[in-house]
Amino acid sequence: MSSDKQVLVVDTANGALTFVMEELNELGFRVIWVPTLAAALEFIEAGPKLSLIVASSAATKKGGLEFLARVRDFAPDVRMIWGANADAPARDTPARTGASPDSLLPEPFRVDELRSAISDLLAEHFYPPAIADAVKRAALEVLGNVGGFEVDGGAFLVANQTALSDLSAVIPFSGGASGHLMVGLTSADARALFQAFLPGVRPIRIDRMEDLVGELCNQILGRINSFFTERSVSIQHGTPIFIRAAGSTLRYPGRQPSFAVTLKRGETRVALEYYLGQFDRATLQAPVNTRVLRLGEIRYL
Amino acid sequence: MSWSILIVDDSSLIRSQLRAALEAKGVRVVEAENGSEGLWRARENLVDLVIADIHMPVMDGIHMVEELRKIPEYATTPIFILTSDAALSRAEEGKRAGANAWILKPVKTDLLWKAIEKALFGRASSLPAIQASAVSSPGSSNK
Repeated sequence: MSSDKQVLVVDTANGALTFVMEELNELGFRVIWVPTLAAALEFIEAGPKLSLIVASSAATKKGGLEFLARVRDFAPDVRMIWGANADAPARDTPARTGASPDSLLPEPFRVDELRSAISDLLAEHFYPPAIADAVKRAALEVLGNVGGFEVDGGAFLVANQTALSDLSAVIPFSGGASGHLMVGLTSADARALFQAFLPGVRPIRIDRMEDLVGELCNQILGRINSFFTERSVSIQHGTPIFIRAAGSTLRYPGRQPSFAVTLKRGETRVALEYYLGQFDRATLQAPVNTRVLRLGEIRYL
Repeated sequence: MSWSILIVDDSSLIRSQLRAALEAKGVRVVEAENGSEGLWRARENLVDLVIADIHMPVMDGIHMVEELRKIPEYATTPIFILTSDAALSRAEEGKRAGANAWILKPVKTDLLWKAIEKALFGRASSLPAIQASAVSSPGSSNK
């Protein structure tokens, strides 16, 4: 998808950032490790396509601020995550200086904090804002049928595996772009949503709740696909695959992370995971010349 | 005499939603889970109108409409496609198969009911008139 998915990890040889490198690798990045800031600078000045630098406090103890300034001058688009040692005097932290990293995380790094920082800084490398917005808008439009849903705390990227909800539905798509959409709900949330869609229907069996999850997945994917149709990219999608597997993990072979977003209405949450494996970024710039139907529109033939 | 409508959709949620809305209007509802079952139900019960999804297992909606149009009793029966597929190129496929309307999910049931009334009243009184009024110009919509 993107040709600049390289990350430079700067760390001393003590291996403190090994798990960070594994995490980045899971997210689909090519990870390059260097032990010193001098080696990092040499690498950067050679002009590689680079999207992110992650540096430990141990590696940046000496000359870190100068390094930051040089990187900002030489490669201003590169995002930087910097480790901050809690024991370091406040005057030495880069946040207090003119040149600062994009994200300053306390060490030792925590996986959730690191993921969040990477997501904030790099989401557009995988899912440009136009696509991310299309996914969120599609979900809000479809769930808007019962009203009151909002995006819960923004979106984040996940690696090529995900924790499954009680009830999940996956629909693959192919054509001018390929991937899949997964929608997951807990049984309690599916029951609440079912009552909103079909008030008064009893009993609410698990297969009917599952059917609801599948239909949501179908309709939301249809709306996302219309984003591509408007750009003359033809996409076909199939019927849902259902998974009942609370607490299990679904792992799939992909070279990109997924784009994950959760929507909520009160206590009810709907989790979406959109995986876009292949698409031509040039299509995002293409003129809109294919009309699509609006939600609920009736077209007489 | 009440109308009868065949709903063909693999989603029990959609079938239930439509059944509830249509039965409230006094319509007799026949259901099928896929295109193949839809054809069987259509032969078994001569219905006044068919509402069919596209993406279904066993037999998709486009194929079902093509087959339905080969049955003399269904040569002019209004057939609505109710789908999540918003591409007009797909709607053209539906038109070639013999569908009369392409409706994007989720549809408000009052709008759907208006379309049903329009199709069935027109069919009962003056078929040529409804055919003429049902042709949308490019870029327009009829809600």
